[in-house]
Amino acid sequence: MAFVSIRDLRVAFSGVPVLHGIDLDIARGEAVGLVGESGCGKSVTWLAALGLLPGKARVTGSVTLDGEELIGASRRAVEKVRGARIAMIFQDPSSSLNPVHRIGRQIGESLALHRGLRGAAARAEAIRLLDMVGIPSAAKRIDLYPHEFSGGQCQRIMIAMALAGQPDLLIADEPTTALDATIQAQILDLLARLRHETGMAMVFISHDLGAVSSICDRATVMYAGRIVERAEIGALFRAPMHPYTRGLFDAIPDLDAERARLAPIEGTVPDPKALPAGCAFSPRCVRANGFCRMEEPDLKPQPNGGEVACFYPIPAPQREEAFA
Amino acid sequence: MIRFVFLKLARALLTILLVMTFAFVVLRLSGDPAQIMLGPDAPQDAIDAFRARWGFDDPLWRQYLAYLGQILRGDFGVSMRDGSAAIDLVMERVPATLALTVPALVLKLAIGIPAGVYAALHRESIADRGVIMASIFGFTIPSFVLGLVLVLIFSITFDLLPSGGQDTWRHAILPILTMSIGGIGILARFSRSAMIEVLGQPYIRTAMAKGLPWRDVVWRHALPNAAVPIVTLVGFMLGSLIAGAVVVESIFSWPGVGRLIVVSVANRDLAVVQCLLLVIAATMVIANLLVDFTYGLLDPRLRSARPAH
Amino acid sequence: MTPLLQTRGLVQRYVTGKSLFGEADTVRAVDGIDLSVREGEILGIVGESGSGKSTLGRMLLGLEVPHQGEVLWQGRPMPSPRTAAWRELRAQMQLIFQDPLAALDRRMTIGAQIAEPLEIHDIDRANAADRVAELMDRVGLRPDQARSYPHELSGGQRQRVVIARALASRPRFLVCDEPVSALDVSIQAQVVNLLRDLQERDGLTMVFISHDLKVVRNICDRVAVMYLGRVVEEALSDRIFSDPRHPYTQALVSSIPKVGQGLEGRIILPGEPPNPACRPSGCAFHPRCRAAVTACAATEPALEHHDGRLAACLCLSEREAA
Repeated sequence: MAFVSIRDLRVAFSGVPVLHGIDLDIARGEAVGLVGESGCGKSVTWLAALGLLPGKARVTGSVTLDGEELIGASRRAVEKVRGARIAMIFQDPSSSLNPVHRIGRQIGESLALHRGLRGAAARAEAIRLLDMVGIPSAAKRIDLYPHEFSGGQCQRIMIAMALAGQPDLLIADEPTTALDATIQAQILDLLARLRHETGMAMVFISHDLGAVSSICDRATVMYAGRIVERAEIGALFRAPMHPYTRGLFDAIPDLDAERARLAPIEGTVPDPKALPAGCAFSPRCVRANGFCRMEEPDLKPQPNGGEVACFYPIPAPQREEAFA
Repeated sequence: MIRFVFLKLARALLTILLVMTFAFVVLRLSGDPAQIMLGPDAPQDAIDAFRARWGFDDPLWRQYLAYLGQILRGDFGVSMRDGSAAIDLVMERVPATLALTVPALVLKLAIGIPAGVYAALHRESIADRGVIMASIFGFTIPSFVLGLVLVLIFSITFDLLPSGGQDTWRHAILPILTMSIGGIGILARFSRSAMIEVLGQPYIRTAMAKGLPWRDVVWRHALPNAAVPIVTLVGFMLGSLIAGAVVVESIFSWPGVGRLIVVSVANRDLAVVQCLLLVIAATMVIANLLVDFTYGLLDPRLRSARPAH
Repeated sequence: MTPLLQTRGLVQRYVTGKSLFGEADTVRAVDGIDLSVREGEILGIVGESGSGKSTLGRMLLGLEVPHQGEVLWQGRPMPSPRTAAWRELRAQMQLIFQDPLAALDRRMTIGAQIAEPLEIHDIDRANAADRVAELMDRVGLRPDQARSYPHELSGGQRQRVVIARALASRPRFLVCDEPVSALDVSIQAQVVNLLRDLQERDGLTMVFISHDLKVVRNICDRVAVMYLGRVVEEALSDRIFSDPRHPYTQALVSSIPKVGQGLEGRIILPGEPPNPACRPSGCAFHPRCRAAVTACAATEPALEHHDGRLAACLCLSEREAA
């Protein structure tokens, strides 16, 4: 059985649905990428699962952790899961740390909460964690405040804080988007190393397909609040089946090929208040016909082991040609 | 740190000096004290004698230098009405004013902040709407109207409390109420929006994602951050402890600093007005200093502008 | 041929921690830049935060006065800011930056905003409406969108409005500071293509500042890599990405996550870019450089020709001397 299992998860903000029934399983120890553009619901899925959305959000469906239901569970029950079983780090590390508390105290809070460590023991453990995530001279800098660290270092501190509860699953929500290229590389490396060392599972939420492909085992692509495709990383990147996934790949400039014009996806992401009928991607899709604009495709298993929600997935020959 | 304190103090003294100078010049340009003190029918030689007695014949700059010299020696001048020391006149009124403003400030803090925080934590609930409505009511009604309404209800209609004077603690109730209601409204409204702002910050989500119980998220993570803007407003209220009761003291015939201001200004009793303004400016400046130092305590980012790495 | 724009020894410094008594720190955000931009070319400036690339961009447009050095426009010094000559020149050079919502006035229709520069620079006032329609068509906006307000458009459309407005005064030169960084991947490609068309069809000259190396590689003819206020390597776009020589450029290029390639083979730099206020001695990159030798801490490398490029690295110079 999957460690975390999401079934038909739906979220609406002030009556506007933004997540239209997500099914997702995470096994112990695996790394899953969640890919999509802003507003596709990739972050909302996990904020909803952990009860971190603001009060105006209406969440239905089911999220189970080792069989224990989280949606509709008591606040105390969900608080026991957060940080201890499932930890989360965010996009903007500098504002994700509380500016008025020393970082040692912020890590210590997790240690006290999840491992009962206090005083000198907590301090020693916090220093060990900061060392582990690569903060230089941690013993001295544990008493500094967040503003005294750079963005990359703040993200390391966030990761140390997440590790403090020894979680089974780490949700990394765009953890490198706000960072510079060489720092991004450092953080990706750190996350991959920590996963290897601790054996925790990881969900890596990102719009950066390259980053996802470099550290995940499999990936799920979302569009307008739905999953449109999922597959093993190799298969997905070798031969994307959904026209949207394919469009995303084509839109990214290639470092090695000719400096040719890019192939954008025409049009824009639909407004959740006015979703098109049928497949939400159909207005931008080159393969869509009248049927796509009326009926909504379900996520269906494919011969290559992946799943895709499209009536006319890109067939194999054309894919090979494209990647030849 | 020492430099920081020194700079703040220097700036505070400069502010007081500017207020003093401004008051000195304006008071002397806005009416002849001799005319007002002695009445419109006073004989010319009496007026001349009065002017010579108080030094009004000298050029303005010489009067000003003399005044500064006096202040430096700790002499705040004497009242032109009865010749008693201005500073004594002011100081003997201060306790009466504080007897109103301090309890009023305590009420504002004790009701305004919790109400605002509670409303922010229960957004769009009935309690939140109630707090918003009550606070709008509180700070839109001018205190002279509110004072009169309270008198009408509690003194005239139900005869529960006295409508003026300073004889017993019961006399203080209506003035204190009048003074605090507006402040409660402002503080509630302000605390509510400060708290809502903080609750939307990413670090609150981090604290929740950590598994902290909601109580601890609010007490340890939200409130210390929301305190920074609230302190500004409280500092302003602290600064008006001495001068903030002019209207209320007049309505309830309370013999405090406010009434002294009204009477001395009307009489052009220069030394007293100047002394009053000096005391008021000093209170405001001290309150400001307190706010600045509290900022440093609350927010480490404001302690030093320089990053450590 | 004289380059359209040229800089000579450009330096910008800022005073930080200014106070009444203490000694002020100065930060050299840009520290001696010599660049030239030829007519019709797109020059890329890449670097991480703190490298001084945006400061450089503002100096190129004369929006900031350099502390030292000069900017030459068609071989002649840039007139001082806010003079008549400067204003005339400003019509020929425009800035496009990252956040289109911040660049637009929320209370004006986009048609009115595109027409604004026409009034300011007194061009085509008679048939402003036609000109706005033409500009909107050129950047791919529908004519009926002229009556919309910025908040009614998507991020990509807003950036198109900003570009249309920048084009209104018929500029010859654009500085684009992270123009697509705030946009989603699929939209990013639309705007990149638009900028490319402007260069190819209208011969516009551009300086394209970005931290997104893939986009820079795609759109720029030539690229200068900046580290801590200086250019460390400059070459044709194809060359610098396929064969980077400066150790920093090598790390930068290898840090780009590539689809279908794991984490292997990447150069992970230790540490972070230093604070410009305390610039390391010698080559500013030496504390993080895996190729650094003792001399690197002492000697500042000059930007020299190496194998069809400019690079500032002692090791490269030594290898060639040997």
